[in-house]
Amino acid sequence: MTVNLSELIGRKVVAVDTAEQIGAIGHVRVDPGTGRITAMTVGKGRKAQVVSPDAVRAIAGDVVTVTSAAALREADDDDERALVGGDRDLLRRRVLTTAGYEVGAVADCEFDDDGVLQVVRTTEGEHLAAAFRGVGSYAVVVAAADT
Amino acid sequence: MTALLLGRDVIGLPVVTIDRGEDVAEVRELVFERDGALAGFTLNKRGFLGGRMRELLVAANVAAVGPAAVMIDSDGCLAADEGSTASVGGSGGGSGDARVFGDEVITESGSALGTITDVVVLCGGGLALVGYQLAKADKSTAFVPLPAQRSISGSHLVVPDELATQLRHDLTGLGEGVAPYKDGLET
Repeated sequence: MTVNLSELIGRKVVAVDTAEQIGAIGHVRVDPGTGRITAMTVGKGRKAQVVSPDAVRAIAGDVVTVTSAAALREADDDDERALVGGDRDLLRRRVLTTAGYEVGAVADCEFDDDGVLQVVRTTEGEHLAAAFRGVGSYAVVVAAADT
Repeated sequence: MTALLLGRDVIGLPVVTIDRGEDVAEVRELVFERDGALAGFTLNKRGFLGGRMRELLVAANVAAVGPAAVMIDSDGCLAADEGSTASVGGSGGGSGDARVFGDEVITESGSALGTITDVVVLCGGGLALVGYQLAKADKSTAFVPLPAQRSISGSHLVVPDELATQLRHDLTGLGEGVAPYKDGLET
């Protein structure tokens, strides 16, 4: 089973210890080296809180389940503050190749059950996760086709 | 097909890190070595009020130049300006011996072909200068492939006589002129 980023964003988050809904997924950060989801936020804006992957039980169902509401925490380094600020968001971000060409914008991303990136879909085509190089406030960078 | 860019199209391009996807600077001016080779770029901060940055981007640290961005591996690729021998060859002409824009192009037998108005760089890996754009006396534009260059001094660029009849009048033509030398450029 696969999960699309566009469906993951906004998905309800439920704590399995209390069965209470504690919010909805706001932002998702993907590590360019491994393609893994390395953090998500619950909520958006100033009230967004970070949840580490080790506290996440499942992302591929109808809701995202986390171990406990106590696992949510404030952003505590620059990278997490960038995540909360939306600078690590992939959707709609312009896509540049390592050769300096612009090749559309991110339309969606596909993850497997374990939160590992499989495919980046852009407005102009698809890039396998292996081509994914970096994401920041300006662009998502993918390897040029001939490299 | 060989994709080429004029120097003036490179000025203003964002400098983007491959590892973090951030636009850390934008190209301010091209910098040339004394022998006319491209040494790299001076940089501006990004944004409307962005002023000049102290750091330089030297050619060796350029991962690629493309129509949308200049790509570098990481922000560690920007180096502080340590007063290198290179100088700026921007539209003002710059100073010192490395002036390139405005140089007169002459053949070995002394005919003037025009003056250099811009440089042509190769898209893709690294930063490679492949030719010059020149304005001829009749105001028309032509291109000279770099491999045809005999010597450059800061006031003159000397080319072989036969080039007078082989000037390329558009970038596509220059691309064809450059193609035979391309393998040698991608070292």
